Amino acid sequence: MSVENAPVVDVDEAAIPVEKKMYYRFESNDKKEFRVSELAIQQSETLNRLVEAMGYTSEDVENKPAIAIENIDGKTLKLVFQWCEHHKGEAIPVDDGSVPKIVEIPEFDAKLMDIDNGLLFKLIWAADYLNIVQLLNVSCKKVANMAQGKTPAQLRRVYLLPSDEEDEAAKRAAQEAQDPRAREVEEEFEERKRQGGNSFF
Amino acid sequence: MVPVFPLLRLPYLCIETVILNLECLEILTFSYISKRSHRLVKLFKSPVTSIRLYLDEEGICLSLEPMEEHWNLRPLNEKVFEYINFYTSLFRCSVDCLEINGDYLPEDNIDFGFNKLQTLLIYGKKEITNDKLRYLIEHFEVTDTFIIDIPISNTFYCDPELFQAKEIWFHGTSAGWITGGILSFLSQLENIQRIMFHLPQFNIKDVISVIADWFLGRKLSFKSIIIVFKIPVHPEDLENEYLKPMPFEPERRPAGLVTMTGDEIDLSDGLDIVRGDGELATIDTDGQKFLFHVWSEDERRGLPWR
Repeated sequence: MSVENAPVVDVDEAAIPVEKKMYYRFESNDKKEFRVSELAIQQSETLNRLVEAMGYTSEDVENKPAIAIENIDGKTLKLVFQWCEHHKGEAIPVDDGSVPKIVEIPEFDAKLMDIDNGLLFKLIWAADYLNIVQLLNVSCKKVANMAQGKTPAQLRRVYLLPSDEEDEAAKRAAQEAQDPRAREVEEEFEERKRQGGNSFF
Repeated sequence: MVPVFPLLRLPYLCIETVILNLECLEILTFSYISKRSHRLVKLFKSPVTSIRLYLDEEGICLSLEPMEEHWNLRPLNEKVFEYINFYTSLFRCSVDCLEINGDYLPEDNIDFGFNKLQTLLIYGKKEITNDKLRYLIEHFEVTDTFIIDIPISNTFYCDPELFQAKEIWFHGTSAGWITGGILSFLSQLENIQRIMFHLPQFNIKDVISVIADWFLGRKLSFKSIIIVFKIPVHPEDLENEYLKPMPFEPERRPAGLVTMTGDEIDLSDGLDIVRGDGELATIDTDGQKFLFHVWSEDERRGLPWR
């Protein structure tokens, strides 16, 4: 099934499914609404527990407000639910402890994740928040694949990793932000050193 | 423009999942970037369970297990051992196995930087000097398997108590210095379960004496003794006042002993000894070859020996 044909639809764009299967309504933080099948929701441990706890009937789903997912925007949530619908009914993988992890990216997932890195970042964040194990695996695998054939310098640029000097500077800045007096003390100390004093006191 | 991804802004679990998806070489590359990236790699589960080293004419080849990634470290100098320390620290594992081609050992003794090993193999074609061999035997504490397959002078001697491995194998012309006294001493060591000597100084009577100790319950951990003598072993050599060898019976054990590689050693001509506590052993001879083997329950059911 192609990404475009995945059975996740914005509520404004498609009719309500006629099947008797239960579909839940979710709303993103930018007020986009989605209908997602009960089986697809099982891919997300977080959402699955949530709907179980709510104990909604079919009428409740229609009459009550959509379940709000505050931390995720519509664009990201659409990808998440497309993924869940495509993989509904599949077993949730159990970590067998193997390192490196043995993760294959299926064609559908590869196409779904053919997105810019900003959206990929949000997708990983959402997979973690909603606890969708296999989506987290494949999306992190895509990020891991960015390391292929890179030198340390190239990899530093790709992953935006700070150098030791940048880390040190950030640490100092954080300390100073915590204690504004610290910078004054340090400057005073440096000044005294310049003047040849060997004791601060 | 190269697309960038702000890895460290992801939640901790996601960073871990990305790093656990990296290949071994990529993890190494990642660890070189900064102190922070190095620390991150050390935080997560290591893909490397142990390191094997091969010292030969090329220098040292390092193999990261279980993925069998190989790196050649050369020339052989102090820097090489700094790298090895780097790898063991990064992957939080130890060097478990060292294979040394003695023909290419440098004149000066090497400070390996580690001394505990599961397996040590010293092999080669040229006779190894007594000093070099003594240094290696004294330097390493080998817990599992100690294999020597390099010519050794008959004048060699070291304290046999240094051999603490479960298995000791002296192939080729490496056992010429092993006397009956050394065999007797080795047989009393707690850890030793298997020994194999090729052309030692001692004779079959020394071995029968060790087997009698096993029979009388003085040496409980022994599993097998394999010896290739200089002269053939005759049936009368096996006679002993304690041992009452019996011919093979299929009710007692299988005719063949299956090795770990799946080969079968035919022991249908072997003689069985049953100790007072029910332990069963077989003695088999074939010309100069001699085998003594204590059967485990699994082996008696036809499973490979362990």
